[in-house]
Amino acid sequence: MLEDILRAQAQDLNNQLEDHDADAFMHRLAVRIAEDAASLSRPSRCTRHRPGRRGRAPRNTAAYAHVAAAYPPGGAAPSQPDLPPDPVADPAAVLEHVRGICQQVVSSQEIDSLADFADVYDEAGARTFACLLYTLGRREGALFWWRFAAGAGDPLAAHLLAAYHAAVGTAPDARLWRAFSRLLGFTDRHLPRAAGKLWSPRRPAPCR
Amino acid sequence: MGPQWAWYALVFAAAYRMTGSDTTAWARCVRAASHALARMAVQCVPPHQPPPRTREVWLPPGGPAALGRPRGSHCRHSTKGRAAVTDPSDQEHPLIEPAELPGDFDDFFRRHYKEFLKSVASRMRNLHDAEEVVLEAGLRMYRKWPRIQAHPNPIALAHRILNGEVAGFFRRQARVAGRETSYGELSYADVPTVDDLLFLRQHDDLDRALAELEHLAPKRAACVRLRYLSELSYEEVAERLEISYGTAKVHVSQGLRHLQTLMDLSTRGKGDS
Repeated sequence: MLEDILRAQAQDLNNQLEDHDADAFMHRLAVRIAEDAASLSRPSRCTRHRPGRRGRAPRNTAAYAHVAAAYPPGGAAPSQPDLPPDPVADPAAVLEHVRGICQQVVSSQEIDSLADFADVYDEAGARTFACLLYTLGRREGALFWWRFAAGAGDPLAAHLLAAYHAAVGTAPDARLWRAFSRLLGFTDRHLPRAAGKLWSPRRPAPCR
Repeated sequence: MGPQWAWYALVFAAAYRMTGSDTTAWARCVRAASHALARMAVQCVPPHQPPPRTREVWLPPGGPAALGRPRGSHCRHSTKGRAAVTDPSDQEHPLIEPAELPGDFDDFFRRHYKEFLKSVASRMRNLHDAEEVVLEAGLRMYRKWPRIQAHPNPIALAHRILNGEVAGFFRRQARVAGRETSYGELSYADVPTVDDLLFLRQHDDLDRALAELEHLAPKRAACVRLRYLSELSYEEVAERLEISYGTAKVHVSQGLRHLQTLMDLSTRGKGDS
């Protein structure tokens, strides 16, 4: 019975949150708000320093003690407009992130792993093959071989699956592959370095 | 080595794609493959990997009661099993004093934060991730607090902000996952285990059905989540979604029927009324 399944899950959630400490959580929130205010009061690294305008905050405790002054309670920081959507979370940006990694893979020495792939079906070759398919617009084939590679233990393949599913909005898949990539210990050291100019097909196909 | 990995990969990939709702068979296949994956995962870990960061880093060793300690005596980077409270004079980097929250915001968030956590945890299936989402949503609510206060339905606006954070969470994680998650960075949750994956698999059918329902009929999906997983009354569901009491009941009923179809469950008895 569906309602029984839902009620059982609600009970599980209640059990998890029964001893949840409200004071500690509010403290974490307060620290995060203070951190956010501190980051807003620091000048952006991307802006050129212009003397006489925004100077760098002194690196001492006093700067942090005056965070509240830069971020008055109950409102946004004075210089912040109504918050625009987060560009990092934009689906197109995440898909571009996936495409960029695929181009890096096929432009790096990883491309040599394709030589033996047809014989041994190793995880690196499968992942490289998948990246090649993705850059050629063969999405379904790319997904299959990424799953193959991730199942064989390739952390980068698992990360690419997590990113792809996060971008297209399939949350259960994004959640699963993210957990799997963390289990496999994915970090940026698994990202390949392009050997030269990034390879791209002559007519890049849209891959969604 | 190649043929072995191919075998394990075929086992796992086939299990994930082909066993469907047969969780027992899937679990057997995963366990068979997990031994090799665990060995491989150990090999993937660099020898000098920094210790994992615990989500309890914001609590001083004395627990919440120690929150009244003098400024600067809290430890920001404690690890599990180690009390690392430092003197302000010993700190290399100045600690950030928690912001003083306005009383009405504190009351509002404290009153509803468990409701937010339940709503998010049912989608994240991971309490650490759910806390992260609610904290980010809380930050956004704080920034928009005057607007929320002035809104005729503050809790509805708060839920909209929360849902926005949920939608963007995995995309943001995908963009930052590539960065080094060293000690002191955003590694706020323990590394998942195979048991965590199996836990996700247990809820996979319902979660996929709810995800599909969210795509096809977002209001129905939201009503079902708030009614059953967040355990809100119909009045509360209607308030949070800015719909009428009657519409909330209809959406819940239709949502349940829709889910039963998506999950291929037979309809037995009457729905919730």
